[in-house]
Amino acid sequence: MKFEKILPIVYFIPVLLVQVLIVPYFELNGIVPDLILILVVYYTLKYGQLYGIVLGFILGGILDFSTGSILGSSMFTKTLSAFIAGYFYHENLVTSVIKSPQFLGAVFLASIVNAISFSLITNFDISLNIFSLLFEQGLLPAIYTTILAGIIVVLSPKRSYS
Amino acid sequence: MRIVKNIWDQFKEYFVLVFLLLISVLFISRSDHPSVKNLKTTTFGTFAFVTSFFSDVLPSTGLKSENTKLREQNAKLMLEVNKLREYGIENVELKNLLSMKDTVSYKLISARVISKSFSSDQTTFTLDRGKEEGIKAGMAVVTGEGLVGIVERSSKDFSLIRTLKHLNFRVVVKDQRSRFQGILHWTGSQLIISNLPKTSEIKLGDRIITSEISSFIGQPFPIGIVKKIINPDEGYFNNVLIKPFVEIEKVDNVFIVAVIPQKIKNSVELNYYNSEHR
Repeated sequence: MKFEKILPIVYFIPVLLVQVLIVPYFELNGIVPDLILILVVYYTLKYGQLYGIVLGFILGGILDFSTGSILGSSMFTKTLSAFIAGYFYHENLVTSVIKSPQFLGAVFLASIVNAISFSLITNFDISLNIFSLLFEQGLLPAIYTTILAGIIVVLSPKRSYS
Repeated sequence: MRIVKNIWDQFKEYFVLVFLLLISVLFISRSDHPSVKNLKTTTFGTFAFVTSFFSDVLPSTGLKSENTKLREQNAKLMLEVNKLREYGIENVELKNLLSMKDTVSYKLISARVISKSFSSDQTTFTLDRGKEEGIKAGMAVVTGEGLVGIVERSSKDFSLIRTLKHLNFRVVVKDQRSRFQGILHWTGSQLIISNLPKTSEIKLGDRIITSEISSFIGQPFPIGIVKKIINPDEGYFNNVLIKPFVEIEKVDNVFIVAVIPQKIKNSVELNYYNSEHR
């Protein structure tokens, strides 16, 4: 059980490689889906809010160190996103997280929080347009990430773990 | 004791959240500390090494070497053409002067983008060239179309590029026709020159290039064209939206302009990149 809880950190490296090597080919007007966030949300729904918060912090930290973004920015946003996703956690669903209806909802909401908080941290401007903040920088990346999560849901095997 | 335990059990998620968010904020505030930067350079170099290994197996175009030569030639021609444009305009303005010294020599180092980190606020690239090839922080990165960004930091074999679409990227630019100067920056969704006087004679379609007075990009590199002039009713300033020549998202190969530092200028001006290495 303990090893299972370390697994997302192991999975993080290949997911990050896909994020920086393959995902850029699918950018739309500079917007790309966030695979790391999907990973964080998945494990938050699997193991709970507290676990997700710590995982978001760790993975966000590694992300900041690896990609050259402002140190602490992804740490902050992934931690907060995991906290939000944690409200979708339900003990009875832990065996089939990816097929649960909560998964896409959690990804969508966590994505919005992730994108908006990231913009606020890195680009806080008193003249910031609320529409731009919510729509361009919050909603569009969230929709794209949720669509990708939906594709993962569709493609994932249908076997039941319960 | 039992009360404390009860409170902890009931609110532990909130306590942990607040604690970790505070640590994150602490990291954000210390992001530019030299020791943190050194650590980031090391980890980024390690990750770039892994990335470069995998990026080699991704689909690559044929005729690689010929393409590289052609791209280099293209980039050099772009720089030459831009320089000639500058000379043409300067000749009109300075016709009474006898001659001008050409103090700039371009040495181009070709590099491949091995990974891209996209976000609306901070788009960065990792290149497969580093200190071994003489790449230093602050050097300009270009393609055949124009400026892509600057080198933010470099490890032995890799470099991290801060692109035009990065909130911390700021450069002094000028309108090539009217010669008005301003500071170009990325807002998170637009490339903009802000606070230009309303009297500035900038027109739609004007070419925007980097200015010689920039403390780290002292050569005229093409940036883009004026797409829109935002003229508010109040105040004395306009904002100008720029459409960049380079499609940042589609860049795969670049050139680093290894220009000899302008010592006198650097010693006079406050240079961010000098302070970084103190």
